[in-house]
Amino acid sequence: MLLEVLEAANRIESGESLAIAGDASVMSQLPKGRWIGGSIPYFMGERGTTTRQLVFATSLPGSPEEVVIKEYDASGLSSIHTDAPDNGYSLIIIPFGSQVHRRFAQDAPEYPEAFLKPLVGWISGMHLDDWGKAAPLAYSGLTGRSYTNSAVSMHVRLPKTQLAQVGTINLFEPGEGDDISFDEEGFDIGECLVNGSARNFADYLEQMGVDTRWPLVANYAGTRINVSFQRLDTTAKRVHLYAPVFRHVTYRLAAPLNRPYVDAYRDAVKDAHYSFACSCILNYLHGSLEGSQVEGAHGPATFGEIAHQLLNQTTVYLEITEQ
Amino acid sequence: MVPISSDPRWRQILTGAAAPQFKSAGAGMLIGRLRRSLIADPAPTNFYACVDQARAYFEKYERVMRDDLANVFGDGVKN
Repeated sequence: MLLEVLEAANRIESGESLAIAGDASVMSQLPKGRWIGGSIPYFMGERGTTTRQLVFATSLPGSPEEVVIKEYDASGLSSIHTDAPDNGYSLIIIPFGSQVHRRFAQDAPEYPEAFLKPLVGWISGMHLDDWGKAAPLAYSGLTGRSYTNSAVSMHVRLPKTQLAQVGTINLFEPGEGDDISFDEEGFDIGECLVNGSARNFADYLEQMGVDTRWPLVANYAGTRINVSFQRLDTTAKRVHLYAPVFRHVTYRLAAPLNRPYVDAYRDAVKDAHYSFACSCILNYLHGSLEGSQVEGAHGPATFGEIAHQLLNQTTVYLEITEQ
Repeated sequence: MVPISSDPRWRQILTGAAAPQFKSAGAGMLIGRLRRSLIADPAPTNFYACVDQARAYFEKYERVMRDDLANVFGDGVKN
């Protein structure tokens, strides 16, 4: 929930374990304690809100028996799951544009014990007015430090009677158009294959008149994975993405939404009443969610979501089931 | 119940010859990743390593994935 900084500080000092999102100017005022955080001033509360004064504090889902906070640089990230408890979950916050962000995006599906142990979180950012001026940050309440190039994680052990599962909500479906695949992997792409024929990706998107508010979508055995467009560089003939594309995956341009974005979003998340949730800033922006009433999936609107791996333009939540 | 490693349905699922649509986000992402792995390296050792990973996931989440398991393997899967 959105809180005044003083109220969040009081909860930290009472010993509560929290995940906290807020603008860097207020995050730096929080005391040491059992919390992790990230810089972001966009939130989905009862209404979409942009604020540099309030923070969004998430209580840990379930009945945590043990909480361990740890920082990871790019070289250490592959142990994120082996560090996690056998039964529980891990929250992670990663600064946007950092080396650790890029490494996680490309490598996370290959980490030992990936998918077997639930991992959720988000990519920190900054107010868009500060783009290029302020560095996205991750915070460890344990050390009282902020990090521009390390992820901060909270490993949470649950009792055997509780099982954590990661869930995603995606507004988008693959469209009816061309099959698009890639021989190169990464965030910045030159060439692609369109129905098996080599094309320059930027040229293809330009010729097709693609609306880059809608992502690429791949179907992973029922789970739709988006890759959102950051920008087309038609001079350099490169396409810059918010998540990497992978070899051996078939993508399609998303089918356009058949109703206003805000209505599709509201309907999709209305029943998502989970302790932990986050959504993509692209939903916030393209859906004009600022000031809009939204019933479910309250949490930060971030520069990327993490549900086992990096996702774009989705909503991510953690569900706890009693066994 | 999760089928044994030698069940032929694993090959169908992991090679994409069968195209089950899982409700579980983690299951879909995992199967997607294992399929990419098998395209890059179809050797039997990698195939059985992929089956082991899939079985470990389904065994852990079996109680909350009954609908998915029934849809993919049917109600009469053997353990």
